[in-house]
Amino acid sequence: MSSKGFGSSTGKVRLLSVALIGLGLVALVQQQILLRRPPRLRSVAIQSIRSGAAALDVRFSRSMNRKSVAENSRLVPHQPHQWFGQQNQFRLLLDPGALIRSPQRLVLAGDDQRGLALPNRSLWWDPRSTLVAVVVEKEGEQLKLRRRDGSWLPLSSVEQRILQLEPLGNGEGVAFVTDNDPSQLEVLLRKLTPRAISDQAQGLAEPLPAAIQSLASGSLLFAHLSSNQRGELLVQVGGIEVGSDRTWIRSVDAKRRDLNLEVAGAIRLLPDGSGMVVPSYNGLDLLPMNPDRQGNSLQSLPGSRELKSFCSGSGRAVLLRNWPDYRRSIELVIPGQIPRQVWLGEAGVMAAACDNRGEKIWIVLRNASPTLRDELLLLNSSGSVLKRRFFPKWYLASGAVLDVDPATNRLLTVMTDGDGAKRRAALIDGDSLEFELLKPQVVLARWLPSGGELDEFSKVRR
Amino acid sequence: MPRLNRIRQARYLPPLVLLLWGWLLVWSSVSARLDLLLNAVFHPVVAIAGVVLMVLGAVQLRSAPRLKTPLNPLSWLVSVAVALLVLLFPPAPSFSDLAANRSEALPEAPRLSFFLPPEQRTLTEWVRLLRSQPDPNLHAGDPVRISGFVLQRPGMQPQLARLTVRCCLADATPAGLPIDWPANADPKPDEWLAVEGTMTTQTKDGLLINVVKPTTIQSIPRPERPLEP
Repeated sequence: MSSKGFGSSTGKVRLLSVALIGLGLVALVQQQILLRRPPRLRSVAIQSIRSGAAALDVRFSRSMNRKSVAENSRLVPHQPHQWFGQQNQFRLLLDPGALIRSPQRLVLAGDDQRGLALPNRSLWWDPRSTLVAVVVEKEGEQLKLRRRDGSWLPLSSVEQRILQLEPLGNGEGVAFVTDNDPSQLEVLLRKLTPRAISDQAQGLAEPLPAAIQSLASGSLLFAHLSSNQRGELLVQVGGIEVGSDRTWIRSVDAKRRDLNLEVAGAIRLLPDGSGMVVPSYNGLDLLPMNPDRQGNSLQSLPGSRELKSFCSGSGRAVLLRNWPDYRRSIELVIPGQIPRQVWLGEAGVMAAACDNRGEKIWIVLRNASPTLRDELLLLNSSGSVLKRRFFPKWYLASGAVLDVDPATNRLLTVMTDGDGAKRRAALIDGDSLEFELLKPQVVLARWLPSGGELDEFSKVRR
Repeated sequence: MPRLNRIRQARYLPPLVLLLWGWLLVWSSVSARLDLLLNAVFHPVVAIAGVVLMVLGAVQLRSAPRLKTPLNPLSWLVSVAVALLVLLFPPAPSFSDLAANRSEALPEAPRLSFFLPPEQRTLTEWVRLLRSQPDPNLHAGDPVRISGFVLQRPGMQPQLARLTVRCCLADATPAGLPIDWPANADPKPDEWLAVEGTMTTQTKDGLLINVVKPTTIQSIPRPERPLEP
């Protein structure tokens, strides 16, 4: 090897060494900068599967000290709450007894696992559901949303009749079925932009109406809708012709997936989005979201049973069971346990609902003797009656459901007077069972859940 | 010295060592020894590696007379000794010791739902569900039927746990559930137990948590495949 070549080789080695040392220094500086960087808030999302009045999922950029977050964060106005979770994913859960009457301001603070403080961050959040109803107008019926100030916002044109109303479980729309001509139903979806969470106080508002979309139309004899908390929508339609029944699921991103199912009634999606309850000729079947009738994923509950209400996303539900001797019972279904009978009698069961944990069950009973009257019972999960009240001169409207808003502990239904001339949305306090009738004449009324997510605090993810 | 010289003449040593290691890898795959060390997905890779080593050994054995004497036969002998030790002493890791020193950062779980009947959830599925839905009251009252080993962390109540692995024991992550042990129970670290009971809630250090209240606790042998993906 020549001395020139040797010198060149040494130079290369020196250059390489300098480059490696330089890279190492850059890595060291980067590591030290990252070590000293405070944690950041990454996303905040309204969580609809919860045991309490309301919940928020909060995600940080790194593992946080839960105790520090719980001690330093606060809700204004104060509501009893707890922080759950670990590492960088936490859940703020408002206690079941929390009564939310106004928007909440959440001030987030606390230290990460290394003791670095999260810069204080304020968020505004309104966990209360919004009332949507089919309001009777002079020329027909119209879907409307009730603003917080009591005024009504139209969500559809005036239709001859609106037969069903199904709010999407993520709060991003309302599906409904119109009937303008005999055997000519149309399934429509009014999309909405939730504004229930914001990083600015003035950013909170009722959902903003977006496009309206036709999901099915034509020669249809029936249409049935069901939604889950993920915002998926199940559509069942059928016409006069044999074999014209169609069932499909519309995903959150508007993709259609047809289901090939033989059913004996209206399918209901499980709130948490993991499956569906399908009425069969032998009882109720529980199927996963990708049902396979041949597979072994089917779970069945035999008997003459009818699903009345899901207890939010906790996996619990309230069923109505019809007995051969014409008695009826209400059962609380808890996963892995045999159905628990909480009420048995001969009265007609007009509607039933339960709270998030199935610990409070509301039933509307109709007695025909000595006079026709409706009675609302509040039961606990063991079947003990906690409270009861009659609705003097008012009756649950035919086909009305009891809808629960856990944030305000209020039930929503539709009631009629004795001769059916008046038909009003009724707000019922979940504990005292006191009720308030809203003024406009309505056909149907449901709660639209609050929803939304703040991601990186630059935009609302939809 | 004459013995060392004989070894130095041992042209057959390298192919025989290759055959031994190849057979060891294949046998470990077949005899379920790897179940204690490696995710089952990777077992065929080990078996194939063993077959390749055996083929290489066989080819070298055929041409052994023409081979040069190995440069350092002592290193080949050390390799033989290690292989024999692996054969004589099967792996018996203490999962409790391993788990006690690992972080509990489980890999991102597939979305679990309430559709799966609670009594059919494995211990790992329970832990993942409790992390994705950390609201203890949602799970209170659910029946539980799980099995795992007793994990003893210093200064803490013993838990029932499983180790989840993506590849092998080197990346094992513990998934443990607190158990409300009955007064007469004496759980020993690494002991494998089957527990049936109910998910309950308890307040610990001011925080509501889920705790399994057992109705039956049964000692069971270690499962053939104790590691979960």
